[in-house]
Amino acid sequence: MGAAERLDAARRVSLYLVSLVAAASADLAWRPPSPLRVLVQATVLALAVLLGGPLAEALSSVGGAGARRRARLVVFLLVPLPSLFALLTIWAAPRLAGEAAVVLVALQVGILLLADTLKLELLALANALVFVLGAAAGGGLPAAVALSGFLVLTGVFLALDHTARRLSLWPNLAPPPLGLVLKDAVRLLAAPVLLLVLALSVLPEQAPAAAEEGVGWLSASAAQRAEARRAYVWLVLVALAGAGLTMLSLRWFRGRGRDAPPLVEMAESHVEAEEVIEPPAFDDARYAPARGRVIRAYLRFLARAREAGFRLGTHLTPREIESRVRRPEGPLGFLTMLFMDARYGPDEPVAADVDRAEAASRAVCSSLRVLPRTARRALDVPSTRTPS
Amino acid sequence: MDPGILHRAFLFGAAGLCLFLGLVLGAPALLAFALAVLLLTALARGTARRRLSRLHAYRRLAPGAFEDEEVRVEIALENRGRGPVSLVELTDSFGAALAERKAFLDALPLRPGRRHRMAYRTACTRLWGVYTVGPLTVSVSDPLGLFSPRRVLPDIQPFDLFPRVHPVGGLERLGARASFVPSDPTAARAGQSAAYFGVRDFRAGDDVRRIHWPATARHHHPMVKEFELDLTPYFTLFLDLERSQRAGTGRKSTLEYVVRTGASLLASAARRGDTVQLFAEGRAPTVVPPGRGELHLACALDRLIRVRQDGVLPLVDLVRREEAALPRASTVALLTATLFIDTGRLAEVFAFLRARRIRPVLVAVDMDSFLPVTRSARPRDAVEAQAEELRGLARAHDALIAVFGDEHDLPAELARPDWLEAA
Repeated sequence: MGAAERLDAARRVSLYLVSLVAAASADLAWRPPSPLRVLVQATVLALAVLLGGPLAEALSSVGGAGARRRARLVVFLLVPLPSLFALLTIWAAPRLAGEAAVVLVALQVGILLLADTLKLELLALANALVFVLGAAAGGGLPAAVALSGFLVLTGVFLALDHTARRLSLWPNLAPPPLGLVLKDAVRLLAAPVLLLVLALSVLPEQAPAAAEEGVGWLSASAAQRAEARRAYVWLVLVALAGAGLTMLSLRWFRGRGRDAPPLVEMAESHVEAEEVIEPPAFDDARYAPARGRVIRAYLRFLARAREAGFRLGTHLTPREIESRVRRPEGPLGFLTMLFMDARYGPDEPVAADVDRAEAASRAVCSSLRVLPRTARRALDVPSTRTPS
Repeated sequence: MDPGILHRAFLFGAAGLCLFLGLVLGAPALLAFALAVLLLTALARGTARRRLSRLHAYRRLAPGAFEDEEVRVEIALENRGRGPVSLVELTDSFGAALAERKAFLDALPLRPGRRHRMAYRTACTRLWGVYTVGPLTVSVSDPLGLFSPRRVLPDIQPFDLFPRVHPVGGLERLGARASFVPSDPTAARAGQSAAYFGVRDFRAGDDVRRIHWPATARHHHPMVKEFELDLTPYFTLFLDLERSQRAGTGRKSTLEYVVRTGASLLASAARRGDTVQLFAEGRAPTVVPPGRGELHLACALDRLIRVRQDGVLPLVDLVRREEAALPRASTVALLTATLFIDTGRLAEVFAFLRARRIRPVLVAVDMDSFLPVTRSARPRDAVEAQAEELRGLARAHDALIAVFGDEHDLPAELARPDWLEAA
């Protein structure tokens, strides 16, 4: 399996996990916990994700782009209606919430089946959000798992989807490593998710919709809660197994024909070399590197001298500046001489002179004491034009 | 629509819905979720903008190329940030190509403090002229692809697109004068070059250092070595940029014909080693001082593609004005945009040139065969008669002449190696 196929498979698996966590949480929030039901949900959703690809290929010859666009619009307009109706049912009549969750799972299966054909990934996320809202209405552990799980897995899906979409325009390019994409996404998601988990653990368990009807997580007995926790362990196991199986199946489906030549020849750019960026001072140099280093060493001394209270105008020659600053005599004289040779002389300074100039600049700078701004202003020295 | 916008809208919609439900139904978990989603989008926006601000890109390419030539444009992308960045999209604008926008993606992770060097190739598919390359646009997204800010780097460079040039046959037989300076072009006549020509009898005045002693011993009288003649070929091109001789549009216009023919003549002369110079008088004078080599040719072509037909000085007057710059035994090409030049004065110019042993070449573009711009077209009979008169004048002064008109496919004519000879 190539890197691009791996990326696409990971994207589908993340969509599957969003659906599974959301659906299972809604189910566990409103119905007596059952690991078997979780297993069935996981299997059905995995089959929907797996069969979505072959179904898209089978339907690829049906209808043109315009017809697909119209069909997509119709689906986007119609599917949210039963979804919202189910959500209203959960909030208004919690006793029917279990049945509403089943309807939502059926809807999600349909969306996942057609996701590849009509590009319904966003609708799948929206339907999963309805699950999450339904689970949140139940409160407690399912609400916490659904909300935080939805945020994490949606983020991961968006990251993988973004990478896959970008690369679809340049199919010949090698994609970034999957690990790096996930690491970047997790780094961005960490703060919001941690804060959300913290808030959910601190905030009171409140489920207004279920409070009066005696159903849901808050009305459950201690035994039922323990069973629900056990179901969540099952959910984790099922999710891992389902993700692994989905990945393997996608690999089997997609692996065939991967050696076929690409249909589109993209004569675009590839990275030819990776280099270390030189220090920025070199890039900005007006002079050749050696000459520039000596001049910059002198400019550092000038900046420090100004900070030390010397008013050094642009009309001053290096010798005049030397006579004003005076100390330390040896390094200053040496630095001035090297600067004049580098700035006005015909020859490029040798490496040893560059090192000596920088050492002299360091010595002079360290001997000059920086004055506070107020003290600098108070110096009674005739003002000069600001040097450029 | 950009999927990033849809995803962003979905997250904002989800946050808004949760906020509403949380407030209306008193569910703090939904409020916390909504705030977490909003925090996520804010962080994504900040990350994308921060990534973009640390990216720098610059471009390197040759300053010019010939029509239909393939150009390699190098782009360097630098990451001065603290974290790796991947999926950076770069869009460059290359004006000399019909498909102007070149978009490419750096998918590999660019580590901090590193530079990726990339390159794309593009063909210069537009017609000759001065174009621009740039600006360069850099775009990078946050890890979730929610925000894709882009930055336009003001890296705009001029790019000269020169007309395609063809070797002109017959130029190698044109004028050149003897030189004491060794040069590549030589003639198979006795001269002063380093190329050995033969041995002949000693004549009074011959340098004794050139005596060939073995041959002298064999012939029992002094023999001297002879060397080939070094030549300094010198080519001068005069362009007619008189405003009144504008005719035609686009690829079928007098300016197009004059510039294309001039470029071929200049390139052929420069590439055979001539010293070339160029004179033209539009609204501003165009003067390329004498020089040799590919760089000088590029300089001359650079000036050539900037000329406009907006002058008032007739070509003949321009030649007379610059006659001091014409060395003896050189070649002078006159490129006129009309056949109706003053033949009396042209004859004077030809006579002057021949007196200085300069070989004249006249290339005349028949402006009356093109779509009229400044004046209506003359009758074809008059045009034919004028063309014949010019040919007769050229023959009389041993000048080469070529006449081009709308009926000629100029690139095909110029591609013929003998168009000047055949004329």
